[in-house]
Amino acid sequence: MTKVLLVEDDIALREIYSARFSAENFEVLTASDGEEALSQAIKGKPDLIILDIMMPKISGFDVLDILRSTPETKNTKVIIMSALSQSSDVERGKKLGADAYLVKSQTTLSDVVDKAKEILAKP
Amino acid sequence: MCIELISLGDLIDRDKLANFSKYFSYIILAINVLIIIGFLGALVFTKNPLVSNDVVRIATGVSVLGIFVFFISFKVNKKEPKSNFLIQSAFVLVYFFIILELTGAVDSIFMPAIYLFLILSAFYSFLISSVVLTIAVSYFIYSDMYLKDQTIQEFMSLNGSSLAAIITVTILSILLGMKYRKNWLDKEKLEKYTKNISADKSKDEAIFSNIGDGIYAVNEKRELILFNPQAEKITGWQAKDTIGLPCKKIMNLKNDQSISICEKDCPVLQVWNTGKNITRDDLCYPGKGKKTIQLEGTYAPIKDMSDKVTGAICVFRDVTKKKEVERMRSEFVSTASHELRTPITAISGYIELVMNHDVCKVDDKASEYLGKAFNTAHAMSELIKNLLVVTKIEDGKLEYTITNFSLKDLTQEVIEVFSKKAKEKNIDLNFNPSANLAIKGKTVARSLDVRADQEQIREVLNNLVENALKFTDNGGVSVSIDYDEDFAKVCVADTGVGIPAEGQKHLFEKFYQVDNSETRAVGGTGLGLYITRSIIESFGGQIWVESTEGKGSRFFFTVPRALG
Repeated sequence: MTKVLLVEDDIALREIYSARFSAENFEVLTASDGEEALSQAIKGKPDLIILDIMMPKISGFDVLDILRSTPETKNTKVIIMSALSQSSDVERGKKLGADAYLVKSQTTLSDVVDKAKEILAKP
Repeated sequence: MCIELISLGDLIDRDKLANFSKYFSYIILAINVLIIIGFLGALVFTKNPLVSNDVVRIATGVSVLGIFVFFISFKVNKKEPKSNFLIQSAFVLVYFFIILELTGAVDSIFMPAIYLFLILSAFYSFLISSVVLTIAVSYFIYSDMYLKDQTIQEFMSLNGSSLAAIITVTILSILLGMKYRKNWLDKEKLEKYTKNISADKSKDEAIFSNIGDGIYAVNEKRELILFNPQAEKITGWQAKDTIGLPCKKIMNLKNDQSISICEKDCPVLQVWNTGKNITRDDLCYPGKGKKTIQLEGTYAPIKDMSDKVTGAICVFRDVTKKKEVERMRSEFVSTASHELRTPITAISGYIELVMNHDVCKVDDKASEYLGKAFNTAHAMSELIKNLLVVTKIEDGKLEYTITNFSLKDLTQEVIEVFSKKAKEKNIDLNFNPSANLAIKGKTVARSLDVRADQEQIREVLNNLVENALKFTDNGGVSVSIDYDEDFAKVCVADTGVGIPAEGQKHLFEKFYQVDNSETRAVGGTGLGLYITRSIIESFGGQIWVESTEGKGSRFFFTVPRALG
């Protein structure tokens, strides 16, 4: 079963993504801040991380930076899912090694699921 | 020659002359009155044979005339002080000759005073002195030769020396008078000129001192030559401490990246090079011990009569507060938009979950309503996105990455994205990339790439195609591209509801929406076409619409072609 880690500080969004990914037969792990995200990523070994940027404690960008420099998570797929829509943010995310960058409210739930499947299908 | 005809009366300041001739008139009036009283008194109290003299009677007559003339000429004194002065002078002359007549004519002891009259009149003007000379000579001839029945020889032997003296004095006086008047004229001109200059100077100074903007000017060595009070207030420097110093010592401006502009980016050098004014709003002044002040300044070259650059002037103002307000406004809009995104995502997410058959079971009616709720949430997120873009456009902060790209490929991608939606609505959506390669009959081998920001143009195409699909229920939407020498022209045509003529005029304005049942049914933010226009115009293109109500619309826009 494919394992996905949802990193999102908003409880409602966490619930929505969990429900949807569960319905798609994913095993879902959740984290509500950067610290939790890092420990879950190392402990749970997810195949895919859906990462928010603006979160308490450690920001999504920093989490991504740490993930990419940690041997266990270096190759884990990451989709950034943020409210930040500026091209500079998108660029920064891609530079740090995100596999995709989605802007909240401009992508539907189905888009997220489709993107997740697409990224996971890549070698 | 003209100098000879100019009288002192023309040269003296009109007000001064009017003032003088006013008092002069009063004196002559007093004399006139005294003569009449004196004559009447003499008539009553003395048996002096002089009183019965014709000359005294004439004098009385002249006095009465003088009083009349006083009232007339006094009225015009303000307007014609010169005429009043001359008329009153004529009375003085007449009285002089009456006194001469009463005191023994040519042998009178007052006779030498005639030289005084000649000299004064010669200094006044050439014409007046000629008149006085003629009267004097005529009087001589009349009183000595005519009344005494002398021959010319007798007259000349008796009065020749006096006449010669009179004429010599007159000629000398005329020559001196001419020179005097010329000097006077030069002095007057000079005075007037200096007065004008100082008036201009004080006018400029008044403007420079009282204008609300700071002003400084530099000479060709970039040394400060002007520093107005407002500039003192903004910078904290005193004008007297700055004049003559190199500009960069005082106005050591930096750009918004805190890099000094004085060495490589000096606006003064730029205006000298280009000859054109420059306005910059990215200037920062480090301030004299105070915090940095943000400035907006306009630079202009100063040129001399021969168009040679002799300096530059800068008009600047403190925009720290304005920039702060702008920053706060865009920060507010940006924060508010971001904060709104999360709850909207949650709303759409929950609705999507409910509508997903794998997660929930709802009946058809509930599904229909949820669909509408979902669309509304989507529209709201579009509005937020557009508000952010509009804020950026208005702050001039929309960032562009200009590249050369294929408009055909981009359009193809956009069409593919919308094809699903078109199919759902059962509308034809086709793309006709029939590139018009033959320009003016010649086949052009040039690349068909355009030069702009690809993502922004994608946004434009998205907007136009989405609008076309939104307002079309039957028929189709077709996109085509044409090329001319400089531009690629894209046409998005639909067979939708069309736009009334009045609406077409305002279509590209902010928050404008054609008001009819159709538009209300499909909704929208009224920002899409405003953003579209702003994007197109920022690349030097144009956007316009042709439409017939009920038949459809054709939106056109142009994008500049890549060179080479």
